[in-house]
Amino acid sequence: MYLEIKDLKKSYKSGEESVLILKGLSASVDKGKMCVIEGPSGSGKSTFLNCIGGLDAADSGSITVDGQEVVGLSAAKLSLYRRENLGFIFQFYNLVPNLTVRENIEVCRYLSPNPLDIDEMMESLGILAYKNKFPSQLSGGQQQRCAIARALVKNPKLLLCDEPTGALDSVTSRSILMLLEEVNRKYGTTMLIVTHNNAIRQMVHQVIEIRDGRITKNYENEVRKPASELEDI
Amino acid sequence: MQNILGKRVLRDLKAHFLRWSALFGLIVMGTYMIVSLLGATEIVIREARAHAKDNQVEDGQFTTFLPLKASEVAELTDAGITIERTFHVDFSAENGGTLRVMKVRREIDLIECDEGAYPEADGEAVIEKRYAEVHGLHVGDAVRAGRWEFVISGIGTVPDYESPIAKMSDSIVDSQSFGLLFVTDERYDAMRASGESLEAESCVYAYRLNGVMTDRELKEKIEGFPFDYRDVSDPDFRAYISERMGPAEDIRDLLESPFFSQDEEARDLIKMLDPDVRILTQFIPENENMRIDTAAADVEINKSTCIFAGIIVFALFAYVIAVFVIHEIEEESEVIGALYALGVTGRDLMRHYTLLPVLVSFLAGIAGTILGMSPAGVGYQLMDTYGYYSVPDLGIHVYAYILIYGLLVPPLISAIVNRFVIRKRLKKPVLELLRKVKKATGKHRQVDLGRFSFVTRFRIRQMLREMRSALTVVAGLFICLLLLFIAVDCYVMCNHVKSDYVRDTHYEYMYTLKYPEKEVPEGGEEAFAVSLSKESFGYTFDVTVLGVHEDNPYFDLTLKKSRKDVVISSAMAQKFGIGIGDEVVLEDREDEQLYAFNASEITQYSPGFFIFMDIDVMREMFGEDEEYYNVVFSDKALDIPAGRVFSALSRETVKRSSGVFTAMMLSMVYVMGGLSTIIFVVVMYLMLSVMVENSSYDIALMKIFGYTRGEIRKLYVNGNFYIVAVGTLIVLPLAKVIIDGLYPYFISNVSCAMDLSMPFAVYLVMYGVIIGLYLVITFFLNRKLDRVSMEQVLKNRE
Repeated sequence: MYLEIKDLKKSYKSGEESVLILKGLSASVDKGKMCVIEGPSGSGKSTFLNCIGGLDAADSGSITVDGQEVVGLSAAKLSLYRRENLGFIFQFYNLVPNLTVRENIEVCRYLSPNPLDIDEMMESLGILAYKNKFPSQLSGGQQQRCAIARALVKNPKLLLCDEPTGALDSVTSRSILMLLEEVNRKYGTTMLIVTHNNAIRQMVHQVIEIRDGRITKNYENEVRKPASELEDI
Repeated sequence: MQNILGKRVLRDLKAHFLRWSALFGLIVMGTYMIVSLLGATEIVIREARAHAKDNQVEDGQFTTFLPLKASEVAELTDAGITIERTFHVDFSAENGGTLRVMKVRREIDLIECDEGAYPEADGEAVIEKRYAEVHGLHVGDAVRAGRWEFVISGIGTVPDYESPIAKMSDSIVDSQSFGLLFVTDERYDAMRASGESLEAESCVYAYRLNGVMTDRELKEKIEGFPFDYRDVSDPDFRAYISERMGPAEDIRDLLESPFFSQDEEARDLIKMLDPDVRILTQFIPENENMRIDTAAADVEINKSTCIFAGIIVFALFAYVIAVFVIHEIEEESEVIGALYALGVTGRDLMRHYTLLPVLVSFLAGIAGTILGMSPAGVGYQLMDTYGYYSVPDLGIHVYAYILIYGLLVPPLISAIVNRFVIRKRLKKPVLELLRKVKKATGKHRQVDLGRFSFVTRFRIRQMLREMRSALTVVAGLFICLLLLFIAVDCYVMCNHVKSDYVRDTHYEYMYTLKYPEKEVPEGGEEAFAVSLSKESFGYTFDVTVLGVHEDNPYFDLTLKKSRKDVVISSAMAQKFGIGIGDEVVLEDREDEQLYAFNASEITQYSPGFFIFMDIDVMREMFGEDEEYYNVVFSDKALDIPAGRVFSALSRETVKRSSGVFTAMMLSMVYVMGGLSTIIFVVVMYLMLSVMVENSSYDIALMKIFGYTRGEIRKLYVNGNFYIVAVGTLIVLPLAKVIIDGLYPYFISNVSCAMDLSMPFAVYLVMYGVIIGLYLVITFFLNRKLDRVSMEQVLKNRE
């Protein structure tokens, strides 16, 4: 298994009470697979993603990525873990406003000893023409493409996407999903996608559904629907 | 709405307590500094003058060869003039200095005792305040003048010795070496009669015109009094006249014999043979007297400087506050948008966001004003005046305009600056505010940085983004350096005086002669000095035209045989801003004549304002005979009869008096240096903090991507190093140039060289200290970087 999660628990303090958000989750994802994590608001899917991303510390359990244990790492080692293994894509892109498209991508290329070629990356994501533009000069879809390029340029082992189409209209969302599909195929990147969007589950290899801090469904699609054919995005 | 918004103000204050405390502290310090300086200035100007007026300060004074006859004094007093004999004789003090002994004044220039009372018994005396202070003398202590011993009955001041200098030409008050002693009439007469004084009695009269005539009319009247040089009994004067007249004196005596008594031609001949000696040796109206009204004149410039500097300092502080308010507005963008959408007006929000800055400024202004007006403020600042000038205890007074300035200027400037800066932020379209649109502002967008490395490009973009805060850091640094250089220049100038005076004084003794002997004393180098005056910024300064031989061993000069082309001393060039080729016009106030010279060369000579010319040319120019001289320089003490000497200046005295300023100014340098450093450190820390806070979202993002603390520092903090490094390179010399340019105004009444040059190493040290402070401050920013949470990025989702 490329990503393996065992009995993962996470709680938060709310006043004097401790609220258990993740109640012993176990799951695994194979290398090169696209996996959707679904669930209603407050189900714990983002917390789950954050624990995998080393952004939040689990109370107990185990997360291994390519054989490396994540739970229990120090802040400095978690930072190194993110740097060497992960790419992030956010709902609101989170581009640095005073950097150009190219410079935003360079932010992550700088971190990698073996980065991909930026121009090639921009070319394949259709943003080469905007390389000297600032984020505020781009549409939402263009900004998300830039964010994807930024996440991919360091050639991560695992790409974590938090509602990647959440801020986009359906046409743009489709093009972004097609792009993720293309990236997965071309680079073999393992992807975890947190989403509300039920349509996306049809295009990925694996679906994990979380309800109330527990995995209620965990299955692989026998037949995947290409993003271009998805309905009701 | 204001009430509801107002509730946030206290919460804001609580949330950012440290920041507001630092800003409060800065404003308190700034107000304290301005109010205390301004208050002390106003007290000195108003109170020193009021005391002088109460003590019947003279309208002027004149010195005569011989005491005026009773009939002549009566003629003046009958005309309505008040005359006071302020005769004096100088005696050696125990420490080797000089005590000037005078009678207690009765009508003019009255003694004001801070402690004790006027002398009543024969062995009592009032001692001048500065001398008493420097020598640790108190009422009841014993003091000795020559062989005469006194018990101090009082410690006081007189308005005609506010600058207690021995001679009008002295440039520095040196109370270690010179003081005044007021004794009973009987004791004075006994001391004078003893003939033990250092010099013959000076016949000085103080006068008050009482509106009946002008200074000039009085002078003309006195000059009209008959005077026969043969009435002067001083043996040295008699010998001098004999030497000058030679056989002419015998002829004159012969012409006065009864044989020629009816001869008109003989009388004309007598007039021709009479030496040109007048009864009036000196006539100085009050406004030309270098001892009177000097404390007030010295601080007058502070008044406008303080008001102006205060506005700049408060504007800087207000801008620092505005930067924080802008940061807050940007953070609360959606809230502001929502409030607008709900119908809250821009005016309401403007009032809300300016309330805390104005309130903090106002409260800090109150605290600073109270501190400034207290003994720890005004009282402390007055020490500078008390430490140099001989003025009575002036008390502590509160003036309405200073109170208004201290209380109103900080909040007013804060309101103006904040309104001006915030207005634009609050005028954004509602949707833009709601969506928290972050733009790379237009000016910075199109900068092409393609050729630089990623880190360099990132830093440049970051610098451009934080230009406002960066410029505030540099502006803060600039203002701090201006403050610092006021003190540093003062110290540098005093230090130059201390070292250069001694270095440039190559003689061991300089004798100024009242009655020069026919032959130059053996071992002496003759010179001819004439004292003229030059005006600068409304003040009149003595300039000595010195005729010397080119090959004299004491001055390195290349002299021309010209009346016009002269060499000027470096002190004079610095003080009056004279360059080679400039015309220098000097005035002979006695004879009402102007002399114009051309500065053909500037020679390094700092101890005084001198014009050097060939002695033969000068003798001819001033109508003296071929062998005339009145100054002797020597490398050892010469045996010149004391009665012929007007003054003797030794190199040792130069050495002692030249260090007076340095010691006096050191505390001011420490205070100004300390204050400017604190302002610099606080402003820089606050601004660097706000830079980190402005970028906290991006920093959180970088943490998510896996950037280490060192890398984040490199990208977001270390770039500021270049701003500070380059900014310091620009503002350090700029501040020096500006203060150097203003310095002649600051010391416009000070009669000394103004060499403000500093060794390059001092600039390097200052630069190093600034960079060192920056590095220390950025070290403390690490904690701020650590506190940036990744949560803010993760929460930015629907």
